[in-house]
Amino acid sequence: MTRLADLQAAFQGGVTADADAAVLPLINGSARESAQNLFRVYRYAYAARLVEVLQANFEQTWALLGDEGFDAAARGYIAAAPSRHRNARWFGDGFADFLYQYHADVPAVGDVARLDWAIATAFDAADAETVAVDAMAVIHPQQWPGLTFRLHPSVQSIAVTTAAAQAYEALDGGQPPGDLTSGEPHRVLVWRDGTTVRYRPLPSEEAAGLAAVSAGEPFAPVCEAVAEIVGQEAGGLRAAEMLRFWLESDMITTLDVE
Amino acid sequence: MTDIRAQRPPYLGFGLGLRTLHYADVLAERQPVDWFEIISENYMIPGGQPLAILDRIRADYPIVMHGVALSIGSTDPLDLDYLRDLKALADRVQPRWISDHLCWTGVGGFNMHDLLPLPYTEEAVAHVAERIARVQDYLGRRIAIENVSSYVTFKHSAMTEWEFVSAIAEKADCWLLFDVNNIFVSGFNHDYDAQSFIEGVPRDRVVQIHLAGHSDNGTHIIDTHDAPVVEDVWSLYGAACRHFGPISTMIERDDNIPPLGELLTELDRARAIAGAVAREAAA
Repeated sequence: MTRLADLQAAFQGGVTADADAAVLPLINGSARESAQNLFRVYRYAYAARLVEVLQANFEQTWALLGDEGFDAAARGYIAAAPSRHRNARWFGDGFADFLYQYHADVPAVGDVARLDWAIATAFDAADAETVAVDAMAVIHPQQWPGLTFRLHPSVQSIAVTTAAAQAYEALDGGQPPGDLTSGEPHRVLVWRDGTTVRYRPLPSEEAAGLAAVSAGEPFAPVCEAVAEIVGQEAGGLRAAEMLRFWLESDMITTLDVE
Repeated sequence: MTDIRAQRPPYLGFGLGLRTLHYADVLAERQPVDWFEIISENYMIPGGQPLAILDRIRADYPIVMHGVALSIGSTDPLDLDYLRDLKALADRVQPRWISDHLCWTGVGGFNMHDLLPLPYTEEAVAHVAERIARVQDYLGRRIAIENVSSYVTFKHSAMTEWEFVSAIAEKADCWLLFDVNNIFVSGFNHDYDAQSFIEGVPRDRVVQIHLAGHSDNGTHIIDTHDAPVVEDVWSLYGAACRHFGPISTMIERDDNIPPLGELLTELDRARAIAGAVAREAAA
């Protein structure tokens, strides 16, 4: 290693791991302050900055945990998963998974964090032209089974184990989150409608249909996936209703007939 | 010898850092701001509202791109994915110039997301200058490099900070973004005379000036960008104007961000100081 590389490794160790024995002999103090205290400016700023980055992307998780609880969790994450991202925007991508471990007794915390992250990523997901609902009118009945469609890049189906969407909505409105232990495993739809990010719990048949669409399946297998839950008779109609709703919600970017 | 001064990008006047809190004001009506500087990384995202708003603002104001993550001084390899995204943003925004900091942000694939100091050595000059040259080749343009605030210096440094900045600028053939607050902060922290810094850099390479506020902790000053510009920094700005001539100037506020009107008042102060210096020079 070069001298510069050695210095940077020692400096980074002092900042991220509080192991300043290697770096302190390399740096000057000032007439007014010791080298150790001056170096601590970097150590302090490191964690403080990343806590702020997480606060910006996990607003309702922060509201749920409170300042102290969030700070402790965030510092735990910073220590466990130091950033490998060039852009700090993406530093939080493992925070929800971390919180499922850190607050293993309250899975709603990880659920709310997962929604926070999904909402943040939907906000600046890639742009794509969406297809208007009128497009359905010109599709010939024989073409429906082979119809394929693509979801807008902002669309996400998020797995949660509690009534996280309700808790999220309450927190977002400045209210207490309600019962954090209630709810069953289900999925929450997150997407960007124009410039507004929306979310709602998904009925199981819609989650199944959406999973089929995400996998690139044409309309016939999407209907089958829905029918497995609502029954053969209702499957096709329900799937068509869902497609209409997705189109009305700016969730579909292509609608192709074979 | 190349006339580097003649190649400088055009003078833009008095600008502000574009912040989300001020989007509504900027979109609602023309503001008395000559140009905006964006933090590049805030728009190095796939899409959505921030980029849509930036597209609208750039239609009305010149834009300068200012990065915080190039890590030009790191001993890690240059991050080509980052450079690709930076170039893509520049293609979209068509900035008047692109800048980043004379610092490093991490090694070994890690990122501390901070502007960390370099030792002022020949080794670091050669390392950084070679990397700036490669970045400039990739982007197809000169970039501007900014002096950072620092809290420590290194025992094996063999030159002053301004000698270091100057050597890199000449060797890499790049522009300089001269941060007046940073020379005040670092000058206090490391007991050097900020005026020497102003006089010590190649003035024909200075294309932009940053002004900002800081936090005085008694024994040291921290570059927090969370308060108005202090009197001593305004005085140094006057000295910088006298030495450099008219340089595109802006105020950076990153925390404790006030209503736009307060920053416009501060910007008027910069205009008044630069104007008075210009009149002195003409007299």
